[in-house]
Amino acid sequence: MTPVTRLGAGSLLWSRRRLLALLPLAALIRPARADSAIVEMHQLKFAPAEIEIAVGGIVTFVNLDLVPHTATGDVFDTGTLRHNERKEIAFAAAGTFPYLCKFHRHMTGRVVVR
Amino acid sequence: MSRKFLGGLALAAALAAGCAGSAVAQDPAKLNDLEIAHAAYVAGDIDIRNAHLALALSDDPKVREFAELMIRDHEAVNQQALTLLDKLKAKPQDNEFSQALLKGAHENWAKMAKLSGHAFDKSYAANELAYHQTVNHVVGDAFIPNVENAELKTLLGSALDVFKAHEKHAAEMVAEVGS
Repeated sequence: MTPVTRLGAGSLLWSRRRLLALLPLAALIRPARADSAIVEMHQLKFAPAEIEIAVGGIVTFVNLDLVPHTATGDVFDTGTLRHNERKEIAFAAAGTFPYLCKFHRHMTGRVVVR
Repeated sequence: MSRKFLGGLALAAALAAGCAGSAVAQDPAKLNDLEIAHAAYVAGDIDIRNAHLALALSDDPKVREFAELMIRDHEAVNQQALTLLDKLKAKPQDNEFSQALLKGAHENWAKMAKLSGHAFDKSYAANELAYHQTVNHVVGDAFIPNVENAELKTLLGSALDVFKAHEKHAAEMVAEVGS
């Protein structure tokens, strides 16, 4: 076994101890938000209707219905998505972004970016 | 009011279902898969043509919005049906039920075309509500339970979700257009 290997094993052990020591701190941190999420348009609903992502995260809207839909908010719009089409929307700023399908206005959802 | 205008379509479907003792039209529960595919396509196409009539005769934004939705959605559903039939290498089969639907539709269009303004809007709204109630009943209670092909059954189930949303929207349109 080469010295490099022994040194590596020692470093790993040291890192594990440090990580274990940090565990109580980790518990204080809020659960991580997803960098990306998928929202399905299905049975004339957005699913999930509300999602939370991190700043800079991407939401992919996928239309599984037979009929065209949109996800249209004040600051974003997927445009018309037909059956099995998808569109990625990036959210660069924090905030709450409600949206609806402009064809089926009872279909509503919300993206929360933190 | 215009129960009499509630649609040749609703009446045709009721007749076809045997509710009025018609000896001519078929019971929709006895259609085979290819006849069901034909009838479902015709039902969608009739509503597209209803919508085009509304766009030609109505200035009401709510009526026009609904009509545009019917064209967009029914064209999409019918296109999916054609894609499935192509995949299955199947050809829809004309039948007495489809013919009864079309006959009722022609009678209805003749009445509706004589109307204008608010009278047309009320009539269109009421007809769309009755039409979707009837079609949803036929699709849900006769077509879906009896269709044998699994993919066609799934397609009809997805289409019924859409048509039920249309029925709710039509009920809102009836309330908004008023009497």
